[in-house]
Amino acid sequence: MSQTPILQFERVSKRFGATVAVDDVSVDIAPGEFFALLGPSGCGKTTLMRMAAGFEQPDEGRVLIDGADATDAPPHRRPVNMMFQSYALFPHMSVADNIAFGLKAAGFSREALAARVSEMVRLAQLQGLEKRKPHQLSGGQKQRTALARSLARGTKLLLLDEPLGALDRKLREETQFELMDIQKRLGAAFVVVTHDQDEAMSMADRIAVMRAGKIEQVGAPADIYERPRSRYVAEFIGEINIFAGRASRAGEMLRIEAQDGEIEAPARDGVGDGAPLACAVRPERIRFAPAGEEGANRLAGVVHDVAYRGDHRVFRVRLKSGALARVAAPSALPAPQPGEAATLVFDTAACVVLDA
Amino acid sequence: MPRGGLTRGRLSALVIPYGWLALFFLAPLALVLKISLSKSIIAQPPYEPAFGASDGLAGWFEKARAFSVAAYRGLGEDPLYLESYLSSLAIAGVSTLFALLIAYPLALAIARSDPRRRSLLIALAVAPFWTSFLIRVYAWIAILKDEGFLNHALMAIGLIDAPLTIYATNVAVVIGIVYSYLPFVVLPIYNSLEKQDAALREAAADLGAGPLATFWKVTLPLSLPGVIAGALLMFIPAVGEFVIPDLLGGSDTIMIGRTMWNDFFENRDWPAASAGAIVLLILLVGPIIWFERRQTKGQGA
Repeated sequence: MSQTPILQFERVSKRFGATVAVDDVSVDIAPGEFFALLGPSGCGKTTLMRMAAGFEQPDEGRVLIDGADATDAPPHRRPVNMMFQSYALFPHMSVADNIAFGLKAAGFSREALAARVSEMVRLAQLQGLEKRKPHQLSGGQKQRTALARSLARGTKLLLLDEPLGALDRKLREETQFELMDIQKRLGAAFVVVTHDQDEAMSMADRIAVMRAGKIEQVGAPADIYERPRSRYVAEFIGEINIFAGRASRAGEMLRIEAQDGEIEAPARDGVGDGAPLACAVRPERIRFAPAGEEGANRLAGVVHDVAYRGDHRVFRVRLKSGALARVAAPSALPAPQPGEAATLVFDTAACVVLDA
Repeated sequence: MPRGGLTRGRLSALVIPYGWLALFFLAPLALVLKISLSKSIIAQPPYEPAFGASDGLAGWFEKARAFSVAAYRGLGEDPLYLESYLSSLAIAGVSTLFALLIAYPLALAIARSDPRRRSLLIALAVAPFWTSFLIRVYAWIAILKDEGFLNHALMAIGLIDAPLTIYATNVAVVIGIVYSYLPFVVLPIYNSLEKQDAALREAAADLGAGPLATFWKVTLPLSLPGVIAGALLMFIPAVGEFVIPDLLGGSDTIMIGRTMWNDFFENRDWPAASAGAIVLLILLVGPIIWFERRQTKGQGA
């Protein structure tokens, strides 16, 4: 990245008593990027974001905003705005006054303020609601008011704490697209904290998967999905089948002796004979092999049950070891019935080799 | 209430509080109202008409015809009552103002302290209630009188040369009222501050407001219901306060409680004192109604 990152964490750590909330995290976020901090609750993603906003001070490390050290700057002096999970709308102020709050603090003139407020009202589609108080708004309207308020100051870096968490499912999907659209139009960097992998996958340019205060992997959604670097990431993002066993080199390949059969996996550097490894395969990369077909990566089992998902079906197949493997196949293909024997097959390239 | 009508449980839940109010609030109030409409006589009781249980309903109506508003007219003609009302309102108002200035920072400090220590701090704020009210007011005499602790201390540190005359003045009355009613003001303010979502302050800071601006624009406006509740909780009883002005005030301290006491016990003019009480009630009900209206409007319900 040649540009100065809009937000940088440099070896940042934060402890609360004996708990390490954030553990030596370094990550750069580029201007205009849509970045997601993804992880289960308690993984430190919210603490990390609160350190960017200035609500928490790191015990170690530095936070840089637009190249300038902001580690010790109080929240009201940071060129950053945040959309709160609870929205934190001022209950005694109208929608318009909520949006104008940050503009007044920035010393906008009366005309500039009115113009900016109406611009934000239009951006967030809040026309006609300007005089309403927060308790007179629906959940979606509150969410859009909070967004408008946090964007009003024209920040280049917006932090969003579970921005869709309080919305119902249908509204959430619509709002995802709205957020992406607004982010593209304004060109500001958005950093979203979420525990919802679908949300992160569909919105973000890059995702940081966090676990126990550390970032496990940073990458584009497809990267993280196709090439997870650890079992944790593989299992956190989407569904995946893990076949673990002792590995041995076999020319260009690795051979993994899994309980359910022998697996051929792409080679990986620095693997000694007998090392415990795992082959991770996404359900949609597994097919049912036609009877009589021969080749590598074939696992025999019995179809346990089938879930119909419209465009595809998800099969759970009981393998030799007793484990249930997931297979996702287009609904248009002929499908085995529960109770029938089936052979699973996948390409060597579909297997991601991970430490067991 | 759902349409199901009154079940027995619901009925008893209503009867108990309303019965209590009727028995201990409305009935005495009706008595006072009745006496205020009677005429003062030298007798026992010192007013007429006096109702007896033997009169029957018809007899009561007959006697009620003798009601007059003479006592109320008397209030208007007696400058002492007007002066007492004004002086009481002024003393209670000034006291409430000072109490708010002390109580707000106190409540804020408690509300922002470590959650584990808050209940202890609140307990300390109401700790004076564990000692008799009368003893605490007497203690103020020892503090405020000319050779009292306060004057000794001030002279010892060389701040004053001669003792200040505080005891037996309106200043002493204000000090006594502020001291006595302070917990009633602290509690509702603390309650409204403690309920405030800390995220609101963070949002204000995030939007560029410094600590002071955040206080004026967010914390204070959102705590106003608590401030008003605390102020009313103090102001209303303080207007009718009798003990504190009697013990700490001077001969020129005029408050309505004392004036009514004089009419009851010195002049034995029960109708005048009762009329005084009814007028005071009307004066005080006004602010309460205003506050209630404001509360319901604020909730937008």
